[in-house]
Amino acid sequence: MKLQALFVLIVFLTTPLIWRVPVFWKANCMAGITFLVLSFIAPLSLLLMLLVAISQWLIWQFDFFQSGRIGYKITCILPLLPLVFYKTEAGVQHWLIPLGLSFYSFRQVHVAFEVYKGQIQKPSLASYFQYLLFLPVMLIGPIHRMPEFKRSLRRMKWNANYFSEGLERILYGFVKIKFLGNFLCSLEIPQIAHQTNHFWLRLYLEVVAFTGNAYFQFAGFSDLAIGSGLLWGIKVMENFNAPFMATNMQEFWQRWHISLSSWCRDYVFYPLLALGRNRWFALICAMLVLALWHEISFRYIVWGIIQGLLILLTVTSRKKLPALSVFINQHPAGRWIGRLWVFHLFSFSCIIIGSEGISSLSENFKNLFF
Amino acid sequence: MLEKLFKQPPTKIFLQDGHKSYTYDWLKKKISQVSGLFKQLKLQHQDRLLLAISDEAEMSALFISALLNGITVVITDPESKSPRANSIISKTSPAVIIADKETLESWKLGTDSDVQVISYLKEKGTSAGILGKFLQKTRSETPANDYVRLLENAIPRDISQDPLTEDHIAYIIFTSGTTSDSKGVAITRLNLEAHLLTLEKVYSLNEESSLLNLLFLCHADGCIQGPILAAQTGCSWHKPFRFSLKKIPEFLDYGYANSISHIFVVPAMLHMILSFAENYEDSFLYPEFRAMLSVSAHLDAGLWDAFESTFKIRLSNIYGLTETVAGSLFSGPLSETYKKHSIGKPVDCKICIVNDSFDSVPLGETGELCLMGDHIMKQYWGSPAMTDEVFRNGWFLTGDLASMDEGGFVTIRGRKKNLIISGGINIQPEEITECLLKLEPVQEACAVGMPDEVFGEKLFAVVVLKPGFNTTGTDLVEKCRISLEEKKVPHRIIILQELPKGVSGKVQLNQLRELLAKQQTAQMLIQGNLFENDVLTIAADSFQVPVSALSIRDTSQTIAGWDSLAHLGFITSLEEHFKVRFNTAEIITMNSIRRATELIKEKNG
Repeated sequence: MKLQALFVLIVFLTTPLIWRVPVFWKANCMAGITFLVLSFIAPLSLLLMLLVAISQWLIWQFDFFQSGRIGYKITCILPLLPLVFYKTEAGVQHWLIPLGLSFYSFRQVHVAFEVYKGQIQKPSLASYFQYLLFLPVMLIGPIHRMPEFKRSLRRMKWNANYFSEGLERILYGFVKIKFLGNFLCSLEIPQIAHQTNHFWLRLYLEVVAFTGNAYFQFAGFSDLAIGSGLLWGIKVMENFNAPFMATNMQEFWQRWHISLSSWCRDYVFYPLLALGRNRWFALICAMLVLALWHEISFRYIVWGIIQGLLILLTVTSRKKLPALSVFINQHPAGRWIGRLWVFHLFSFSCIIIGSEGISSLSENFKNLFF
Repeated sequence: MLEKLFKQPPTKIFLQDGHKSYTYDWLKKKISQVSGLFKQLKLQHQDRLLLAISDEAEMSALFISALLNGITVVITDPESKSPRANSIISKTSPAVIIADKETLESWKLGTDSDVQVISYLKEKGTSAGILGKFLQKTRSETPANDYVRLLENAIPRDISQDPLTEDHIAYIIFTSGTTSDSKGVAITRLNLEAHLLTLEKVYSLNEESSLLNLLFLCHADGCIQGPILAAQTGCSWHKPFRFSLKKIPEFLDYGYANSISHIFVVPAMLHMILSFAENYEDSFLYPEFRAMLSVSAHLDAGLWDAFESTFKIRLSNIYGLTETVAGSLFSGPLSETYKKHSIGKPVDCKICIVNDSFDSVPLGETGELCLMGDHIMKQYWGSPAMTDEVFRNGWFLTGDLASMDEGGFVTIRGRKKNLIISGGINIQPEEITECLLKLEPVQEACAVGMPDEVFGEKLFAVVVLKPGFNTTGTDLVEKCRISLEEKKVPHRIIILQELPKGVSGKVQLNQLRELLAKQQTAQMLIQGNLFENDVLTIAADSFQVPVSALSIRDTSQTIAGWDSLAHLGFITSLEEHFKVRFNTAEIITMNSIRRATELIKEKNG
């Protein structure tokens, strides 16, 4: 939190500079500030990011491994190597995960994949660095996309509405993190839970508080990133769109951590769908990657598979039980039932990642349901 | 004329050219410097100055300076080839020619002429320091007729009081045509002044306006509705880059970033922009935006509808000819003249629609559109016979067929004159035919325009070879490039055994067009439009929407039923129907019906 607050402060203080320099220099100026900040705070992470980026660029530039476009495939895999290394147990035991690695690795995969698909042109090294070195999203995302970022750069002009909207989003972000997350969900609700004598209710309240805290923290940090971006005149993609207003799990994953779920859709689900022509296999794999992105562990594997199965259940029920699906998704009362269903499904599935081990997990479920 | 340019604050931008800004102060100083050069060159009122410069800033400053000094500008395309350039020079007898160095070299001008020839070489990098010093040094080695050097040595001079008459010729632009019949449209000072006031009024321009006009400066819509209109109203003109497919995203974002109020486009540009509209639909939804103005060519009703519905803005259609400075009838931006699919109403001029006997036709009936107004040219330069052909009882005959409805709105119905308009460029077929007949293997030739979705019309040529010669259409196209500007090179040249002719021996254009249309249709059956219907039918079936609701422009974003399962179904159906197999990358990128069609075309060769 302190680091993200520091980033927000740096963005705020450098905003006059960004708006003072000519349009041509704005992007370089933003990248320069980010470079300086990372050099002091996380030099290893910066080095890793730049090394991978330069390697990718060299492969694109000199068209190494021409046969079978293997070079492009290497550029897609390359950013994942440090990520997997640091996220596996061996890595975690010896090293601290470099700052923002999970986010910039996925950004690098995104660019490589789009170049491979031919959807974007091979970026120049300068424009690639401009995209990667964007301070507001360095720490906690979102995994913003390069075409949108470039468009935002092209549309950059002083806009008082952007500035005030940015400040507003930063305020919302702090409220979500500090008040709703840290105070309400981490202190108040657990305290209420502890005061109750009813064991089931206590556990239920703790689960709700855990889920609520996860949402407010994530959404709050996204607000800080989006708000900081707006101060610099860059529109960063929304990461949360009222996820608990979703009436089914498929919709929920279109609203929760949008930048990550859409990344998994575009770079795991669709490629596997195209390769294997099996939708369910592609879906489970995509949700597994989504889960393992958080942490490479057994509990996240289980959690990811469950999320995939819940989406599968949603899609299947739409076909097998069309009347129920229409009621849940279209009737006002049905929609509220759907929202409660989604909230609870997601909250209960979070018990898996909140539990320390198998025994603790089974204990929690036993206490809650039996 | 152009008084407002002298009243603008020095730092105000006159021209934004990429990242380079040219202020009104720069323009004023340049005018003063160029006026000094004109005096040094002993240019008098009504002397002709031929300009063929590709540098926008320099060309604009020279044009404006000439207008203010009463010197007649002969606007010439720097890409003109030698025969056409020499023909223009012999017809206008300019006192001075200022043109790009490369252009002059390609023109191979005669050395015995009295004309003063000045070459222009754009400076590359004028930064100070070592590089600057180096350039200073190299400049002394430039030839004596170098424009930059002459300008540096000229003594700046203020513009004298306006002694010019209204009949004074402001500029001459040559329309497309053969070397003997190309017409030099002579626009007087009155024509120009009157029309600039009309444009200012119709477009509601003021000093806060910003114009984005990427059209060529050697065409009326580029130069008049760009630098001249900006100087007239004291606003800014933007020409940041040359329009191309690659630049469309930048073009779409440029308006918002630079608070552009008026954007000038030709229908071919609109068509290309529409193909790249996905995720850019909000491009023109910003407070400063006022108008998107389609000029130079017929605006197709389907394109008009699609553009307006995609970008949620009003598209204005301007009807005009080189002979009318720029416009005459306007469908928008003013609400009282706007009617979709029409060319609107005349502003500051009178119109009539007549039959072959020159009697007015009743409302709703088609006839030739005639115009009368202060902005209409008085003559084709040095061609009284051609001038007489287009004027009758003071009316200018446009050669366009039109009808008028009860509300007074005019709609174009066709063309009487023999002219091809391709992507906003007017091409006289005779010019192409003349060029082809000069080629050794060609015995007979005929150029025609065929309807085209993007360009409005595409230039085709049909030739008959001399006995004993054997060549291909592609070879002939390459040979045409030597004598024709790129814009006028035929899209395709077809070799036939004979041309369809009437009893008088004249080539039957309609029969020729039918013949070409049949050939095109046959080709489409193999690779083109007809299978688009098949793709649409498969898409309709896969996404569970009526085929009538789908178009080639639809994407995964615009079709509600395009989810991953339907995507897979769509791909499988396409593979079965067209007997093709898509690879992983293709399946992932197939996010629009257009993309699916393109991929199948690629696979079917």
